[in-house]
Amino acid sequence: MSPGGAKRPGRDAESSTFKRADQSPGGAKRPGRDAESSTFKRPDVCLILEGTYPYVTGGVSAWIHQLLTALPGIRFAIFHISATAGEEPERRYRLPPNVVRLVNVGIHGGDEPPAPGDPLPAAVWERVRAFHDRSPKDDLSGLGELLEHFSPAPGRGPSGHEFLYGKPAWQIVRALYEERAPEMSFVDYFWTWRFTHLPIIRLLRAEVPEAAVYHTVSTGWAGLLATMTRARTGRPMLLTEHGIYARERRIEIDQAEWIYVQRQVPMSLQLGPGFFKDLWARLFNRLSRLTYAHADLITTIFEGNRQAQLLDGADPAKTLVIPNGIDAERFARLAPVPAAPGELRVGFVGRVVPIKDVKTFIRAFKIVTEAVPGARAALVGPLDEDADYVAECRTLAATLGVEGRLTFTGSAEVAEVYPQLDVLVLTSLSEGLPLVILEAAAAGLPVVASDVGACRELLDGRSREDRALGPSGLITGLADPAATAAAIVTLARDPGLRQEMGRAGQARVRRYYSEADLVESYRAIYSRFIGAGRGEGA
Amino acid sequence: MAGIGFRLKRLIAEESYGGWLRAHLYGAVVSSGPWLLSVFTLAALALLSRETLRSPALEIFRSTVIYCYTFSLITTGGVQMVVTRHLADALYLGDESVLAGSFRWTIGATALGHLALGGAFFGLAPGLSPVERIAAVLLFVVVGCTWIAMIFLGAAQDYASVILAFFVGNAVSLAGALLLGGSGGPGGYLAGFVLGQAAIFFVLAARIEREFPAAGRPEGRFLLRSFRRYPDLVAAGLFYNAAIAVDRIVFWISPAGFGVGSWFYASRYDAPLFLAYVSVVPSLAFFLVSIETGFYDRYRQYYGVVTKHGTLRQVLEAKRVMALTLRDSLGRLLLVQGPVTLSLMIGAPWTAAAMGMGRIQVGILRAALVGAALHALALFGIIVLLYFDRRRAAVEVALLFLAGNAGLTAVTLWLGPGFYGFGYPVAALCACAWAYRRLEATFENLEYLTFASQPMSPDPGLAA
Repeated sequence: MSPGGAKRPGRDAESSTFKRADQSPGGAKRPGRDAESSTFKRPDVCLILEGTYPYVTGGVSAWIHQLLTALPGIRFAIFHISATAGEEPERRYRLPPNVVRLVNVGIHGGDEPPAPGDPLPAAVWERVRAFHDRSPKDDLSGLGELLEHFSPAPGRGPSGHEFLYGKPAWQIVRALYEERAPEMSFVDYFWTWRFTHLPIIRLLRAEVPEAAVYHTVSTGWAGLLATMTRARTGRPMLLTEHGIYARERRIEIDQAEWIYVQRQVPMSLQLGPGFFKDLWARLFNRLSRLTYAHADLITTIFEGNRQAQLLDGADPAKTLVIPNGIDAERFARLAPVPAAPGELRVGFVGRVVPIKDVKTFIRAFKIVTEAVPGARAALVGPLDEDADYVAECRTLAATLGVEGRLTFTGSAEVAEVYPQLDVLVLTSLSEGLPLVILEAAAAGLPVVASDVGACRELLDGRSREDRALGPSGLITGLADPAATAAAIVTLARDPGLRQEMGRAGQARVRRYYSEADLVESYRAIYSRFIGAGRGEGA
Repeated sequence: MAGIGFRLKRLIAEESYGGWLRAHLYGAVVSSGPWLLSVFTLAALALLSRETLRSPALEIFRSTVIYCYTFSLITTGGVQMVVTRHLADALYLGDESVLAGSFRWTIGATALGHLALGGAFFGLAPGLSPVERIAAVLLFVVVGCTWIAMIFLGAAQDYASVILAFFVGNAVSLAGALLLGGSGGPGGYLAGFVLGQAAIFFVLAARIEREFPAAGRPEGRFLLRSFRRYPDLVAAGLFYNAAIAVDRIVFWISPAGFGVGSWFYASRYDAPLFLAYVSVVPSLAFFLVSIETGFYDRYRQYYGVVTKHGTLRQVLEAKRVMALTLRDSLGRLLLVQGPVTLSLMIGAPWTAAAMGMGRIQVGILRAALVGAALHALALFGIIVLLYFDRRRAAVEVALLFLAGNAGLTAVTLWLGPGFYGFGYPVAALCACAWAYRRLEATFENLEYLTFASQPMSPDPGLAA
C-alpha cells in the first residue's frame, strides 16, 4: 500500500490554490485541478506529527486535541508519521470537524520500495556525496538543492529502491565508511545507514497536505519533513517542542539493546554508548538542529526546554515559551471521594513505558507500604504501547509482593481518577510540562514528581509571585525510589500539608496555566503566520 | 511525549545470510549417482537377456525405460530445484514440521501429473500390450516420484539409504525382469523392472516418512509460496534438465534417428552418450568432497565475518581467501578429470568395439567424453552460483546450455556424420564459459551483493 493511500484520486484537490508555479513543477501547472480546488478549502494549518495524536494517547496528544477543539475557526490538516508502515493504527481521539484531512505514513518496515523507472543521473549522486562531505561540519546548505532532485513534487522522486539496493548509493556508503569508520563493524554501519535513510527517503516522497502554515510538534522525522515542506512550498513553519526530542532519543538509544555496542578502541575499558549509538544520537541531534534552523518560530512549554533548544543552536529571537494550560474549573469541580480510615491512595497517571520509569514508582510504593500499611496504588494509563515493559513491571510488582495492592487499570477517564486519589506521583526520566500535574493540581491533589522538565517550576512556582502561592508538591531525584517513597510518606503522615499543597496547586493552575491563555497565544500565532506567508517567497 | 525515534528491533543476524546453499550441491551430485546406477542396470539387463528378448521387443523395452527416465527428468526439473530450496529454507529456519507435508504434496502432485502424461502417451502409443502399457505408465510415475524423493533424502543427508535403496531396487529390477520376462514376454520384462524401481521409491518414501513425521499441518501453501518466490529456480531446473536430454531428442527426431515401434525413437547417439556420462563420476565425487572440505568452510567464514561485526577490510580478505579456495578446487578438479577423460578418449575405439558400436559412434563417444567433462564443470558453476543465490545467472547458464545443445546438435546433423556429437561439447563449453563469467562478476561484486541485495524487511520465512 502506498503511504496513507495517498494515490487516491481527488486527494490533490486542494493543490494549486496557493502553490507557486516556480516551486512546484508538475503540480500547479497541471490542468483541471482548479475546478476541484474551488470545492475544497485549503487547510489553514497542517500539523506534522510523529508517534502521537490521534493514534497515541499522552500529554502531547491531549494538548493537540485541546488546541484543535478550542480553535474551531481554523481548518487543520494532520500529517502523521507512524513508526511502522502498514495498516492505519486505531485512532484514540475523535477528530473535531475542523480537521479536514488526516494522512498517516509509516517510515519503518512495510513494503519494499518499488524498483525505479529511470536511474538517477550521476550528477545527483555527486551532490549526495558532496552533501555528506559537508554534513559532519553541520553544514546542511546543500539540502534545498538535494530536495529539488529527490523530490521535485510530493509523491514523486526516487522510491528508495536505488538507495537501498543501487550501486551508486552503495559506493557512497562504502566510501564514507572507509573514510570515517574503517575499524568499525561494516554490517552495522551498513544497516545503520539503511535504517536511518529509508525513513528520510520515504518522507521525501510523502504527500504533505497543502496549507498556509506548517506546524510540527517535534523535531526528529516530523521536523525533517516540516523543514522539507517549508523548503518546497515557501510557507512558514512553526515548531513546538514539548520534550527535547534529541535528548529523549538519546535516552532510548542508550537503552536500546539492538544497537551493536562497538567501542572506539577494541578491548578498552572505555565506557559510553559506542560508535553506532553515537551515530544514531548524532542523526537525531542533526535533525533537531536542522529543524531549529528552518523554523520561523520555535515554541516550547517551559524555560528549561528553551535553554536546551538554545544549546542545540536555536536562534533565541525565534524562541518563545508558551506553557500548557487546562480548564482548571473542570477539575476543581470534581468532588473528592473520601479515603477509608488509614488508607492512602497513590496514583500514577501516564503511559506505562520505560521513559516514565514506572519501575521506580513500583519500588517506591513497596517502601511506602512498609511505613503506611493502608497504602494502595493505581497505575492509570494505556498498557498497549510497550507490552514487554508492562510485563516487566507486573513481574516486579509480584516480586516485591505488592501486586495485591497495586492495580494496572489501563486507560481511564482522568476526571474519574483524581477524586479517588490522595497523592499523584510522577517518576519520569524525561518530561515536558506534564499535563497530569496540572490536572492533579487543579483537582486539589498534592504531587510528588521527579526533577525533570517543568516539574520543579510547576510545584514550586516560576516567578516570585508564583512562588508566593506556596509549593504544591514535593520534588525528588530521578530513579530514586527511596526519595520518592520518603516524599509520599511525608504527605501520607500530614493531611494538613496535603490540603495546603492542593490549594496552592489549584491557585497556581488557575492563574498561570489556563487553557484560555494557551489557546489565545496560538490563535494569535496562527493568524499572524497564515497572513504573513501569503504571496511571499520562501 | 511525541516521537517514535526508531522503535524497531531488527537484529542484523545470521538469518539474513544463507545457510541453506549446500543443499543444491547434494541435490545435483546425489541425483547423478542413482541415475548412473540405473543406466548400468539397463545395460546389464540388455546383456543378460540377449538370448530371451529378441531385438524389436528389446528395443521397445529399452526405449520405454529410456523415455521414462529422460522425460521424467524434464517434467520434474523445475520442481526439483524449487523443492530443494524449499526444504533448505525450512531446515534452515528449523521448521522441519513442514517437510512431511511438503513431501506428500509434492509426491501427490508429481504422481498425478505423471499419471496423466504417461497415461496419455503410453495409453495411446500403438503396438503395446495392455501389460506393457500399464507397466510403462507405472514406471513413468515411479521414476518421477523417485527424483522427488531423492531431494527429500538429500535434505536429510541420508546418502546411505539412497545408495542402499538403489542397489536393492536395481537388483530387484534385474531379477524381476529376468524372472517375469521368461514367462511373460516383453510385458513381463517391463513389469519386473517396474517392481524394482517401485521398490526404490517405496524404500525412500518410508525413510522420509520416518525422518520427517507429519505434524498434521496443511503445508501445501508453504510449498506454493516457495514456487511463487523462486520462479527462477523452476526455470533453471527445467532448462538444465531439458538441456541434458535435448541433444538425444534432436537425434531421435532427425533423419539419423530411427523408429522403434511407431512412437519410440532411438539413435546411434544414445549409447556413447550414456557411456560418456559415466566418465564424470570422478569429477562428481571430487567436487562433492572438495566443496565440502575446502570451499564450504571458507564460505562460512566469509558470512561469519560479515555477520559477526567484521570490518569491511576483514570481509574483503575473507572473500579473497574464499575465491582462492574455489579456484584451487576447480584447478585440481581438472587435474583429476583431465586424465580420465583423455585416457577414455584414447581408448574409445576399444570401448566401442567391446560395446558393439560402429565407427561413427567412436567419434561421438570422444566428443561426448569432452562434453560430459565440460558439462560437469558447467553444473558446478551453476551450483556455486546458487551458493551465492545468483538465481538469474543460473537460469542464464541453463538456458544457454539448452539452446546451445539443441541448436548446435541440429547443426552437426546438418553438417553430416563426421560432426555428430560435437554439438554437446561446444554447448557445454559455452555454458561453462558463461557460468564462470557470471561467477567472476559475482566475486567481483560480492560485498555489494552480500549487503545491498539483502531485502530491507526481514524475510517472513516459511513459518510466517
